[in-house]
Amino acid sequence: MWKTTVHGLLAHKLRFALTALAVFLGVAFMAGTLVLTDTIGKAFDDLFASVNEGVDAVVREESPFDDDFGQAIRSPIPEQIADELTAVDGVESVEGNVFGAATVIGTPEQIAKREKEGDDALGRNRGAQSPALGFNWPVAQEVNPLRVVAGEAPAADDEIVVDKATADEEDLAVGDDVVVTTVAGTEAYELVGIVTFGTADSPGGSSVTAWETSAAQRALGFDGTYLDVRVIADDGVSQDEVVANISEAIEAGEITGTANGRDLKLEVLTGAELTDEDQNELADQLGFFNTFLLVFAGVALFVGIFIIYNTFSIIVAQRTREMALLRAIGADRRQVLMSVMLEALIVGLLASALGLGAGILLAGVLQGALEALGIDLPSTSTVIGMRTLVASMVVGTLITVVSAWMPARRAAAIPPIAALRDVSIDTSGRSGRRVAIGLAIATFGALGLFVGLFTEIGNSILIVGVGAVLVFLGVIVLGPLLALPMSRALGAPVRRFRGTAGTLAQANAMRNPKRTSATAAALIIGVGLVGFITIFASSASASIGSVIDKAFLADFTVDSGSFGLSGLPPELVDQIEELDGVEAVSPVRLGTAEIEGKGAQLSAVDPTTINQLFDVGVSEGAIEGAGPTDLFVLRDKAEEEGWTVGDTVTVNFARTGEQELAIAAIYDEPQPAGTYTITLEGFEQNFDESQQFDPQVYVRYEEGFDLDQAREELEATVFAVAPNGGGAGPAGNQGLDHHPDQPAPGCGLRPVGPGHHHRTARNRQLAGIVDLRANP
Amino acid sequence: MTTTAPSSAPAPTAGPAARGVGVYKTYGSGEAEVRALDGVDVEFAPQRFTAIMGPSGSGKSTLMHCMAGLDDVTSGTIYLGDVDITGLSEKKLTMLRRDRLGFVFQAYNLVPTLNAIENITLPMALAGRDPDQEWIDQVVRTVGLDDRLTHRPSELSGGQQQRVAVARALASQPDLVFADEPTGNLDSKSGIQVLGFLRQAVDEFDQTVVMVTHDPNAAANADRVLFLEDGKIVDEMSEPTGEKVLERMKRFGD
Ligand SMILES: Nc1ncnc2c1ncn2[C@@H]1O[C@H](COP(=O)(O)OP(=O)(O)OP(=O)(O)O)[C@@H](O)[C@H]1O
Ligand SMILES: [Mg+2]
Repeated sequence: MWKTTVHGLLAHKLRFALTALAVFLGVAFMAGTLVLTDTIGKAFDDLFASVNEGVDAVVREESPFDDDFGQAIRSPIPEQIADELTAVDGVESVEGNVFGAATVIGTPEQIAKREKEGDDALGRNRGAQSPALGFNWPVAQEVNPLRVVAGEAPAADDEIVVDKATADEEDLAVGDDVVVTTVAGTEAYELVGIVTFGTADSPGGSSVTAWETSAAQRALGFDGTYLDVRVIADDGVSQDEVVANISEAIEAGEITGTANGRDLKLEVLTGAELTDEDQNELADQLGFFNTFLLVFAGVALFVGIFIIYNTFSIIVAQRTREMALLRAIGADRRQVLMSVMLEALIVGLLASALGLGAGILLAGVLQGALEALGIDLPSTSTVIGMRTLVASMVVGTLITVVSAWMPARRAAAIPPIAALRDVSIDTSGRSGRRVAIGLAIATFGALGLFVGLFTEIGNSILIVGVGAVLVFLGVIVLGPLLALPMSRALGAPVRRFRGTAGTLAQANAMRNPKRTSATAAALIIGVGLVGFITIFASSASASIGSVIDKAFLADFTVDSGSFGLSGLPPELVDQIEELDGVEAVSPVRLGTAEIEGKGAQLSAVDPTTINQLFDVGVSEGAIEGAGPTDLFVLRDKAEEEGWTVGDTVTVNFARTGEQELAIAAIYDEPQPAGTYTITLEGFEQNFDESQQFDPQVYVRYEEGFDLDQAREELEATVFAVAPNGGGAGPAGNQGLDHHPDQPAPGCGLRPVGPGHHHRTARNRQLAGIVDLRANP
Repeated sequence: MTTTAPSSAPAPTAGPAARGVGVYKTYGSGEAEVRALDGVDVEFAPQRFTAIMGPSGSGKSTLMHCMAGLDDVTSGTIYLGDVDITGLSEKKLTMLRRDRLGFVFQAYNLVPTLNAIENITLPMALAGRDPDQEWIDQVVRTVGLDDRLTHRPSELSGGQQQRVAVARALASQPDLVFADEPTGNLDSKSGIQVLGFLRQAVDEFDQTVVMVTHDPNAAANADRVLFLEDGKIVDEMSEPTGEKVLERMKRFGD
């Protein structure tokens, strides 16, 4: 039996390859995903472990709430806490820690040159494409992940060091003047040293700028505060001991902090706990990413089931005589069944093994793709876990074998006499039961689609998904019924033009409707998949497009790009206001606060100009004239909560604590402001300085003003303030340090959430940096 | 795998090797009904060589298939030895075919993906038995396939394929061999060899052979000739010669 199977496989290499392809692709995707996430996970785990190596304890504010992604939100703590900590038993030294976004723009000469060459040259600027991180330079080298490889450590206010990768790529040398953009603005510093991150030239491809601690506090928006304080214990004092001592001191009131008139609740954790926390946080983010990619693998494997089923059905149909002959000369049913299953097993194993190999390569490609998108990952050796090997082989092989089961059963049922006659005529073309089952499945599916798409019952995505699958199955069940009339209809013209060959082809297609429809089903699935992807892609961009078209009244959008990790310095808005012909300008600033017990994203806009820039469809109340204690809410949310204009809502800000805001307006359009909106003034009062940056700025010109001229002047202004088209503001969570108090809009590995709606704009921006979008 | 004793233990003397009683076989229904076998009573004596002759469409192949349990009968009973195979389960029937029967089909005989020798030994491979190498060698030599053993069916001529099929039917030394026109595609020399070989199987190895043929001279090798017409056995002849058979055949359709 082995021999017939193996020889059969070898004799039909093409058929074999086609069957294997589906499994191969699915497994490749799955293995690729697993390898990629394992590799990323390991790389970051290693990174965290080494970054936190010398830290024995950390003191920071206890997070009052999480943001809508489950990320802890915190306020910075006053710097005097560091001094108080030095007095605690077992503490050898302490280091204040700050962290933020800092984009290396280049030397003034390079900037001038780029300006001459135009936007495109800017796009290649390293800082615009990967996270740009700003650090302080700790005195104690145990807690400093950076190592000086040329020059020296930064000591004065106007001195910086940058990472070796950036220095190499941007052609920077010790002694150069280097322009850096941070939340504090764009300034030139003297480059006094080149550093590595541990042994790597840069931390995961991000650029790094570091200042002496007090200079970093100023540059990164931490005046008189730290994100947290890192503690180095005396020799012989364990992490737990020093943490216990610090906790006692906090309880005894020896260490206290107030911020913005509030007493801070402090927490202390060991260095090991810090590393765990960082690693878990990343694991969560990777988990999403993993799921996202595994869904694709799942779709591929699901389609694979059909393709395998179909291919094996066709194989069995084609080999009816051979199977019958085997039966006639003494093979029993089990042997015929096993021969088909064996073939499936071999196909499954081989395809899975090849898929696994391809998946490992694919992981590299995916990693490259992510890097091209600006999600740079730490370089490390590829991690091929046991889980990946086992899961890929088992899933790929099982799917093949299971899908082949039905066709194999059919093969086993072939009577020996079939060897002596032609395949008996298939009557499924007229089967009543088939009609009933097919229609029932398809109807249920259609119902699911309808309910999922047009009503709000339950988890609509899930219902739509199940509905789509059912419609699919229904069509496949009904396929043989459709095959007859379709072949007749399609065959008529073919017959006219192709004569005898056409007649034969049509008769063949009609003779065995099941076979015809099985072949067609593979095509249906292929076309369906392509259609699904196309529709998915175009509706994604359509919804983005319609947001831009519908709500926008502005002439230009200045987008900071960089996945919303950073923003434009606030001074840009002031400067744009001064330009000729500008009628209205407003930034959209983003932050997180706790509303109704849940972390929620807030937008902030300028209430005096916003109505001229976009139409969010205010249906109750008014945005104009609103003040810092006013809140604007999306209609859906207001209805859900039963709010009306005039109600007060308690909003918990990390910086200022619980505040009562009054609902001043209710609006209909979720784009581009999201669910909750406050005034810029309110945002400035309630959020830290380090968060005062603008992911987007909207500009409207006076009627009839020459938009070409406007664009030119805007470009020049933006370029002067943010030569890379952005870069100010916190860098969000690259997972390099714990700094979750910064509700940065999104993160490299997070879902594209609010604040990411200008994907089209951003894509162009990654190529061209500042996209000034002219609205018709 | 083998539950039935292999061919080394035949019980030939007890009665006929195969027997059909009141066998009817109809294909289709209503207007399209074809009566391929119309009340056939037949016995094949053990260790005898029987030839079946008759006009095209007279039901020869159908009779062979029914006798070998490859097709079911519409009514009537088939015995192989003393086992009634019309009531046998699919599984038992398979066992019986595997252990006691050899079959040479009229057309399409070989597994296209296996070479000649693999095809010949396939029944034993399926039964999980080791082939008797000496016997295989002899079979192969007789059918004249020595130099063609590693060729695939697609690389063999029609006659060569037929010889492989004959070799396969005999290779497992079954009690009973059904051969549907085994010499149909052969030149007269290899035809004579194959017939001689079937004869030898009966005389020296105690096998029972039933063969369909259109060739009176081939039929002359048999111990007995049955004449079939319109699904009925219309005549039979012992110790046939070519001339006698030809004579009888001329009277078909009268
Ligand atoms: N599957 C079938 N469906 C309908 N009729 C059939 C089928 N198989 C055979 N027949 C008919 O049964 C009759 C006997 O067929 P059979 O194959 O036994 O003839 P034969 O004697 O072997 O002929 P030949 O010498 O041409 O091989 C023929 O009339 C044939 O048309
Ligand atoms: Mg015949």
